[in-house]
Amino acid sequence: MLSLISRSAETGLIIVVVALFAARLTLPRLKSGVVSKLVITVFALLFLLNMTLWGSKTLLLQDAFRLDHFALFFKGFFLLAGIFIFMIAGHFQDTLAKRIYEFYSLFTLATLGACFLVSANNFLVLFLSIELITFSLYVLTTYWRTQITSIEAGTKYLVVGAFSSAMMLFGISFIYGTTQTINFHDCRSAFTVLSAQPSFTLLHLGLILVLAGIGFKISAFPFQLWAPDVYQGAPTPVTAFLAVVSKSAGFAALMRLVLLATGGWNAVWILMLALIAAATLLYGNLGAIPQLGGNMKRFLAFSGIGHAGYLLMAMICQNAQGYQALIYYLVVYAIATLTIFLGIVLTDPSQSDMKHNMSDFQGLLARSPMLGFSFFVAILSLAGVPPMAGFFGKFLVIQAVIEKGMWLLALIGAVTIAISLYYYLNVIKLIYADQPNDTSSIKIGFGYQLTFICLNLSLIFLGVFQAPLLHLIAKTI
Amino acid sequence: MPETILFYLFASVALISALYVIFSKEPTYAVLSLVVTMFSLAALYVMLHAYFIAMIQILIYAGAILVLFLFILMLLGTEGILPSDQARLGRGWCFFGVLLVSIFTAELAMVFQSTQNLKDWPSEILGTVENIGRSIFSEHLLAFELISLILLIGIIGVVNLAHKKEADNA
Repeated sequence: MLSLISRSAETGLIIVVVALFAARLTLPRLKSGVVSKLVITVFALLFLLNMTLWGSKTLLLQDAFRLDHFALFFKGFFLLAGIFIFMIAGHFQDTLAKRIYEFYSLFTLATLGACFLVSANNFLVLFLSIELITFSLYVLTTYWRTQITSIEAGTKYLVVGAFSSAMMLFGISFIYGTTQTINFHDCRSAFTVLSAQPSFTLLHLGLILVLAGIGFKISAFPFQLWAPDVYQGAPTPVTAFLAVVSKSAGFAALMRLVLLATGGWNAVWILMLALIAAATLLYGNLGAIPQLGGNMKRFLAFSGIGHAGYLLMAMICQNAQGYQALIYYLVVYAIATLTIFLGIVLTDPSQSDMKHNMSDFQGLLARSPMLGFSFFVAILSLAGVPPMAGFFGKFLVIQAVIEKGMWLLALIGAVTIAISLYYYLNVIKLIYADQPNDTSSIKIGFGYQLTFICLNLSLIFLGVFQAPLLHLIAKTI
Repeated sequence: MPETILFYLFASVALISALYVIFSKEPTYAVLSLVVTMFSLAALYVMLHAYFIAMIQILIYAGAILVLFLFILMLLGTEGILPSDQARLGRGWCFFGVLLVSIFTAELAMVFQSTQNLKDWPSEILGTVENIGRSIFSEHLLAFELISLILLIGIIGVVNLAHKKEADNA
């Protein structure tokens, strides 16, 4: 047991946090650039250490902590995403100066929360690890504390986040009140007894409230209003974290809840979730169109809401095929989104993190072929154009939904894909065909160039050879 | 029988002092009467054998939070926050209030309808400090440690956002 705990990602991440504080106190001469590279290296090592646990399947710490393929896969995913988010944050190392230690330790704590979340085996740990993520993000969204937009984003996220946490905790209290347990496994037997009855019980109310709490995290339809403002105002690395790690942690929690705690849904639940998915799809994809010409991060918030809709569609299928499609889609969405955010940051060499208007990206290809090409690949992948990986992700989702017989939902999915093509291709036209306002070329460091090449190649590779990743995913469920 | 009398006594004190919090024109009196509410709630917890929660209720709410309220009143003064006739709430807010009240009434009705688990009084040993301590440090150890991490984030956040000296970023 001790060897499992000492090799788990959580232990490593706590050590990173402690080491960051120790370094701040004892090594005042350490340059922020070095800190950034060290943390990235440690995260890569933690990823490898996490992979050595592959194959273990056990419950630890009084059944509160679950270690299995699903948890290990997502931990590896969060650690890799963390590496790229630190790279995005590394662009601001001069602006941050000494504050980089707290910035990085808060990111590490948020990643820690995500890792605990996928290992949670009871409602208490589930709630607390979600809180761990959101508390770090409250501080991180306000991190540019002299910029009014960042303060606005932080305040909005705090109010909405606190509200959603309260709802979730309220729901958990109902679930505990009726089942007398917080353990997922024991809840499941109570759910199977109660879901056979048609009547509406306190247990259902509890589940609705918990789902609403998670709905905020994944920005699903009635709970999505915070996303555009917060995405726009937060520091760009934080926006990337919200869009990738926070969102996938929410979906992982949702899958865990369904697989472990409720053991499936009946027809009423599926109808409700299908309505939410359809509304999320329409809101995100239609809302993105007026954002063309506005702020790039705000635009990505709307497109991110749209992607949450496709992920929910896969969620509704409730079979191995649907979950496989969901995880595949998440991975591909994460790679493309991280590429775009890294590109956004590097397009603005001033390190002020203020502009990011669509017009700043005009004619990007002429200013930096590497950036232009990376945007091209990532946006095509998000839009779902073959042979990029995003196409296959959307294909899997729609296929899973059709085989479940939900034709209307599949149709809405297909129509919104067509809508999304319009605005994504508009961005590509902006980057490729329009004349740049500022013709100076952008220089990118060797490390970043290598990162872009890796990200682009993985998007193309996953689109052509899907089998290896799908095999890996099939083992996790 | 004495339990029932005590219950009605503390419950009515809690209700009356809570009503006084709302209707009092003087903010200081409102806060002090909230202290009374908290104390009588603590007494109710004791009657449920939840000794630990009763203690925490007095320590945290009566001791820390309400003292904080009083400090704020002391520092800001009470002149500006007295309710005036002009500060009446609009019709929209009234509608919102009615909505909230009806939601809570519906909720109460649901809770009272499903009393299958509420009939028995909890056992006497469940709420003792010893039992809660045991449960926190064995069964819920992971949750306990997670809470300590969340508090750590709170400290980092406050220091970071309030610290003026290094306001060197954009």
